[in-house]
Amino acid sequence: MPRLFWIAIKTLAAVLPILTAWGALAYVKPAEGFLFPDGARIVLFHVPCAWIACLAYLVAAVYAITALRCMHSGAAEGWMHADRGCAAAMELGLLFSALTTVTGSIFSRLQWGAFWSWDPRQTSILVIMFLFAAYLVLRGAVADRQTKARLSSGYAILAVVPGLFLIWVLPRIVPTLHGGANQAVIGGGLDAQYRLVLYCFGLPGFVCVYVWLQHLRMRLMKLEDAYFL
Amino acid sequence: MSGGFWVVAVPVLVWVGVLAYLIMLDRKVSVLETRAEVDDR
Repeated sequence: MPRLFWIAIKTLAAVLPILTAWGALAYVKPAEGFLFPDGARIVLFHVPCAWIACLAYLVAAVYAITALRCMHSGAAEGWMHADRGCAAAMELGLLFSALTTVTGSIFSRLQWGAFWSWDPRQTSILVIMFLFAAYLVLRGAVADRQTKARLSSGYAILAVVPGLFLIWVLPRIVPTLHGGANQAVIGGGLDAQYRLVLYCFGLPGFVCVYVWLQHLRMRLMKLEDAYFL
Repeated sequence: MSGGFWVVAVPVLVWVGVLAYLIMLDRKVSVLETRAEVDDR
């Protein structure tokens, strides 16, 4: 990647989350109609974390398909690179889904009175966390490098189907406490100030942080492969 | 200092700390990559 691209990504990853924090805590007004109006500010961190967890799923699936294709064509460096990309995406997916769960639980306590209420949306993010974690357990259980890559890539491709169903479909077809929130974020019912901070600072900022972390983790894994294989 | 100042300053300081760690890690990985290239040669 060109040097200028990485300078831009790292600069945006540094600046945009600070602007998101400023926007969430000092710029947006407390949300009317909420039990604890100031608690709605956490949405500006919660939603980007959830979207990045979803993005990580897709990135992992694309890398997994690439790894299997490269393995089939015998390109050793190709499948190792793609396998590292898939593993890095799954690790970051686990991190961001955990952050989504924590920020969501805080909001849940303020708005619905309990940290956990087994709401379909809450349950689905928990299952998604388990899907990410299971991938890492599977990877850790296999010693041979190529078998590990083949098995974990197959799992990543299979896991993306229930993962995306749980994120995008299930909470929209069953009654959920998140019903209004789903419509607000996707359907444009969000207050203009919240929209500005979310779409101009929050989402692009978290995407830049994710791209940087993904690249950094892949470089570290490449070094591990070089020194420990 | 007012409470409003700290509400913004604390998350920003936490993020600056995370960022400093990321930059340090990035540099360390660059050094290791250079060393690995030299070893390869």
